[in-house]
Amino acid sequence: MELTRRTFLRNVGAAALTLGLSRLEMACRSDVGAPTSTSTSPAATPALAALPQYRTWEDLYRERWTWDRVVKGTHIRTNCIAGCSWNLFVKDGMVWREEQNAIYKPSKGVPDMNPRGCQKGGCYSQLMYEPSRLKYPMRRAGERGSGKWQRLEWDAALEQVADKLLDVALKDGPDCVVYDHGTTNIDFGTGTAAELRFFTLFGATVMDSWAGVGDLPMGAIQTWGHFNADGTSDDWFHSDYILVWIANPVYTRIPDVHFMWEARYRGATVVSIAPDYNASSVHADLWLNPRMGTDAALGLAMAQVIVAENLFKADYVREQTDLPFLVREDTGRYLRASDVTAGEREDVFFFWDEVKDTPAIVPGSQGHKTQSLDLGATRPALAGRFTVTLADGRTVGARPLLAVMRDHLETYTPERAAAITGVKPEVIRRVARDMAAAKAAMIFASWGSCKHYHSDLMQRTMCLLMALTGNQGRRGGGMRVGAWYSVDEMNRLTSDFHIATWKRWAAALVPPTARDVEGILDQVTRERPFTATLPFLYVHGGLKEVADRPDFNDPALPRKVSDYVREATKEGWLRVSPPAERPPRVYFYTGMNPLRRWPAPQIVRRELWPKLELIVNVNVKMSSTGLESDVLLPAAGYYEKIGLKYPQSLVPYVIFGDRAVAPVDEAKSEWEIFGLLARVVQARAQARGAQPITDAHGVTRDYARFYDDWSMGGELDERDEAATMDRMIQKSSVTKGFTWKDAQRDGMIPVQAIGHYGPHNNICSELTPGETLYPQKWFTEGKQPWPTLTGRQQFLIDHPWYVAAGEALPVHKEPPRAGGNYPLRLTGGHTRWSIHAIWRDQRHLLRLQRGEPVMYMCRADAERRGLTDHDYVRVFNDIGSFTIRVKPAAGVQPGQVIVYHAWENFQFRDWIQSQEAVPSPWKPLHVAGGYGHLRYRMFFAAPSHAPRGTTVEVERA
Amino acid sequence: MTMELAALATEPGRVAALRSRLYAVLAIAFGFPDEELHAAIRDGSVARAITDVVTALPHGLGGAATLGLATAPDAQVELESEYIRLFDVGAAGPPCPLYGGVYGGDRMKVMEDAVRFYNFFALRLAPTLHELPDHVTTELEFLHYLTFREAEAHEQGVDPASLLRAERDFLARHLCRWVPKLRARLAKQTTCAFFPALVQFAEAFFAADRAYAASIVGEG
Repeated sequence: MELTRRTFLRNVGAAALTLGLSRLEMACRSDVGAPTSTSTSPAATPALAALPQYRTWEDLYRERWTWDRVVKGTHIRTNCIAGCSWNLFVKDGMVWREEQNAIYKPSKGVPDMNPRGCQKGGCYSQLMYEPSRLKYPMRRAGERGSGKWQRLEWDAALEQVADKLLDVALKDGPDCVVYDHGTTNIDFGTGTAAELRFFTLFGATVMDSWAGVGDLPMGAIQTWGHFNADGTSDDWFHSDYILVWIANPVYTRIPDVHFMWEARYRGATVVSIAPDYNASSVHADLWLNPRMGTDAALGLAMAQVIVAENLFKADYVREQTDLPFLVREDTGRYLRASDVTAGEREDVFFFWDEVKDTPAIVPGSQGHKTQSLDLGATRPALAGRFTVTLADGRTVGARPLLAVMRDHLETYTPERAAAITGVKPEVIRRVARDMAAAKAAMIFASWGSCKHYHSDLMQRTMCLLMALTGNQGRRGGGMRVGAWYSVDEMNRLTSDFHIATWKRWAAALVPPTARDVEGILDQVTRERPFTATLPFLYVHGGLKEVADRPDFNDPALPRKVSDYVREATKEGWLRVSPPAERPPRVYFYTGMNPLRRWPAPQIVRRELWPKLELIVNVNVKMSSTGLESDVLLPAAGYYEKIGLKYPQSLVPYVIFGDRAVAPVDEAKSEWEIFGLLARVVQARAQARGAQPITDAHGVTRDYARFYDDWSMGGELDERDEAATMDRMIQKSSVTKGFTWKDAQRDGMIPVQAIGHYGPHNNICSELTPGETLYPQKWFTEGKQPWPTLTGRQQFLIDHPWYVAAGEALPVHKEPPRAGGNYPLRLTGGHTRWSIHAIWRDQRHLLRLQRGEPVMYMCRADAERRGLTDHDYVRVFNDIGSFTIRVKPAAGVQPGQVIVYHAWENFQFRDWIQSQEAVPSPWKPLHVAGGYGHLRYRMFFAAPSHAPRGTTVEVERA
Repeated sequence: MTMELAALATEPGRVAALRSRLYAVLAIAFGFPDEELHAAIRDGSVARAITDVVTALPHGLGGAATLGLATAPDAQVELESEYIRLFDVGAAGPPCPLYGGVYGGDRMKVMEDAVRFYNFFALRLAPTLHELPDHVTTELEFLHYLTFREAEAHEQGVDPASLLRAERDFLARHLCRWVPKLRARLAKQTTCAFFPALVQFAEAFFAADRAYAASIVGEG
């Protein structure tokens, strides 16, 4: 009918009338013919006599609502830290509802995981059919943001995008094409493989958004040398003492948090540490509410109690930490081999051996020939003062770091910490003693503290507590943040750095250590155009104007931020791609929503957008940033394509989703989109006679062979996504022995192995079937060195920048006044009702909350400003303002205001959202390099988006 | 299936056939305004197609109801981008989506109700799902089908009451319920004459056609 509609209209007075159906087709009912509800071709039009008699609408409801089929599905590209299998109920080509698929078998001695799935997953079938879906490719037909769009055929859309990619690659260099998935759109399956493979082979800049979204636990990196170390959530059940610290798992770990409460039924104590009385505090035995941003002081006071009262686990501390390492009294730095013997290494260290009463070289440091923590017959001293002779003949005093730490912690006695935090000394002592006495204690840290300017100081303190009490790397113990099992074949398909790792791994008789792989990743990072988000925005996006402001930064910094940036750039510690002199020209983002999430997006919109000749978004739905883009390509919804939910370590299953229904309208899976785009790139390159080029990293790029490379000479085919999924399953250790058919049938594959160590996977513990998984056994039980400079959990960072800033040891520092001199501190948190912005405008979920952006505020602060519930208020500071409803709430601390995460710009008045008042200055120490494990590699140590603690004032709007 | 209008022997059969034709025309007019449709609006084909049919119906809707249906911007892209902005794409969805389920009630229930109607009359959504069951074009296509079958029934001497009751109820439960709300939203959103004129006419026609069906089979 569509093809002839003008003819139809012109001939409307014609003699004949034809029955024309395109959206509907005949399907014989069981009572008028053979059941054909699942047949693929339409049935013949039934005779009138065969049609049932319709009397009233009740006749429609006399038959049960039944399904054509039930398909296993999941929310495959949602950046939620769960993995939940669902049964999807399909009828007439639509998914009508979903139910949790209770397939999980319990590990030994712990409750089971059934059921898994939250209210977001339970209403995706509705979200998938919301009018916000993108239906067909479009390009803008007016100014950016004008809302004027023009529909494109897929071929035309891909040609336009491919032509611009080639224009830029050949003229400016392929690194001027910037690819960003923002972490929001990762699946570890065919979708991620397709797009990461595309942009890696293209030579595009790959944005490293880990720190850019505020999820990088820099304190863990500084202490452990890695950070993606976690286990299964049922391991929480083994804990006897659980500190939920700057976290709210009732909101953010809905399918998993029951293990905490079940541990509590078993006798465990749960302590909530948060400035506000949040939904998780409600369930805790004890709630500590330190003043916002003073968590390091609280933790250091607990450490003071543990050390002063000798409650620490001495054997663990001797072997697993740098606390026995000798520290020079004259410099405050480690005693190094190079200090003692001329020409010796700087990455070899000493402890004092109590057995021989002499200094002894510590095995397992970065430069030591023995890569083991085994102390043999030695016994490192943890106290005392010793004299050592240096290479130049001088003698200096040296003490074990624990002795230095003991003195340092005297600054943080509970009484002193109480004055900082507001938490009573007796409460601090009680928690410290109980934690130390617990058989297994853990800190559920998640990514909450990562979003503070001094996140590293908070996390170093948490790590210190877990190390002193011997809990890190133990069952039911340690600081837990998050981790993923590796899908090895996806990694191999994704990019060439994984190929290097893979080859090394495959060739090794003994699997490479964490430190070995870190070395490979370092090398690849140097050779490829990775760039961390905030430095990128500093150079290209105008955020230098806020990041450089001294009054927004730590007042204890001895130098300007720009000085740190200059030195880090000169030393090669900080690299931005493309470099400042070659601005980015194409920004290609998938799934994410940067103008909602980036700090001060109004500045980025003003500074970065004009540099971009093309902005492309592949997305399921229209977003705040989509509105400001040039070309939109519609992606299939989660139930409209096959996929794999990235396997987060909490669940010992890899969860898969089958293609339950065809995509709405013209949407396609990312696998197909990027395969087709690769084809078009090759065809257009050949058409223009493009010759191979050498990119800025010395890699030859031949776009006339681009699809051949993407498809591995035809091994991968965008028309057969299932074949690649099957390949991934069969070739990855995590799913070894299974096939795509198994995954399709069951919706999951039990995890067979943790997979290779890599950027997402620092679990460092082998999986024992039937047992809960806890991380870092390689170090605590296998005696492998931690991938740090010292080979230990490291609490002294004697990098000159850290020493000068007063952060060589964990300390407390007040959060800077980022935003200006205003009395309130803006905080936030992930919400219960959305995964980032994806569900933020879902109607049913909006009904469960206020339905529009809202800011929670201490009642006293509200009264002081004459504000009452539901008032509109203006929130403002030096860089921006926004208008929002206010809710005075008893659970909010004085001086704190809370706006939960990810309201879309368009949900605010005048579409000005809360990030516009968030400058998020980044801590310059986080670009320090040249120091063992402190260096940038992709998805690793980088400056963080730190929105928490922004200073604001509030007034009636 | 095709029927010759001149060969229709009964007046009710002729009326049903014309109504069926009008629903088909409306399904086209509510569709995406590509160059073909833009030209048809500009050259008056859409307006004539609607006027020719509606003036031949006993619904009491004259040509006045179709004013504005021949007005469209000179450039097709202007009409297209306005259609996209109003009906297809926008922040949290477009301002005037053409999905009935978003204008009140539980949308999945609204869609289920529509599908129950379709299934009852031996129809299903086409497997390549280009539109959802509550989209105006899908609903119009269903009414095109029902009225087509009704015309057949009149001609074959089969009692058409079942079909008329379904037409009456489907209009009442779907298009007559939400199109007035669409019209109200649209009035605030656009200065383009064609779309408000189309929706205004559709609203009037749906109400009149529901009343027509009810006048034959009762209000139920």
